[in-house]
Amino acid sequence: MNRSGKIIAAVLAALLLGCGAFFIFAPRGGTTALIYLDGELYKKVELSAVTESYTLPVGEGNVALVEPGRISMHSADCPDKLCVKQGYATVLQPVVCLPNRVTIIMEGPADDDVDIVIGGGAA
Amino acid sequence: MNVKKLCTLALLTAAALVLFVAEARIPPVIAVPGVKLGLSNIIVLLTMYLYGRREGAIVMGLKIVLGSIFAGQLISFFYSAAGGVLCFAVMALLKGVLGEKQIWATSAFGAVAHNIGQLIVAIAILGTEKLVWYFPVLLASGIITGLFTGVCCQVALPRIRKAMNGR
Repeated sequence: MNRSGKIIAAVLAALLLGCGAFFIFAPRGGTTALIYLDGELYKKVELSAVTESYTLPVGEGNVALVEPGRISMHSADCPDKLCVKQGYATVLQPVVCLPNRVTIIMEGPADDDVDIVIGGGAA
Repeated sequence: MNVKKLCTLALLTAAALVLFVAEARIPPVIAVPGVKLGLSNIIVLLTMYLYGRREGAIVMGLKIVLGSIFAGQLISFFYSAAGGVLCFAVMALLKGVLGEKQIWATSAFGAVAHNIGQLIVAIAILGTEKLVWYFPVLLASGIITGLFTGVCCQVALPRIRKAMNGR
């Protein structure tokens, strides 16, 4: 491998390490679930206040499962069911259903927002 | 464009589509939309290095349009198109800079560009800019999958070229 190849390999490795660090150190929790449908806020669920699990229909095709402190997609009518397989939504991993344009995004307490700096470092 | 070239490009397009459809049948390892191997990009890269950028663009464009028809979801067209255009722009640019010894790098940067394009469309369609949290996942997956497809192309290119000139 020549010189430019080594430099590129080093840059790519550094980027991967940055991503790894981001996954390890970035915030995970989150107490509020924001459910978006067609780009608009459909429902805001305060998960810390949930005491009993219930299902929540989102639009025509999706059903979310709200549990105490966590939320996931219970079912969807799309072909790939990726949103169901994604499991519980976290701050880092929103649950996304591309075909039905549904997104479940977790939000932590307001003072957690500072943590976005870590994302800047990884990029 | 002579008949031999026309046939070869058609064959390459068909190969890209087969890889595209076959890959969609593989159960996803990580259940994150946008994380995929991108095997059909091997063919686009091969075409670009065998014939040139224009031919690569033709195969890429056909793959996106026909692939979206086969996948059966109109919405996936917008994701592939945005990803495809960005990916191709980056690869076409890097082809001149890096040359044939570094297809792996060209491919990795192309895959990252592809994922960035998809993320931008996802943010536009879903209307939630908070999806930028996805970026590190897509960056890492783009580098890894891009390296894989790039190495595949780099290994295949001299063999295919030899086979094509042998006749």
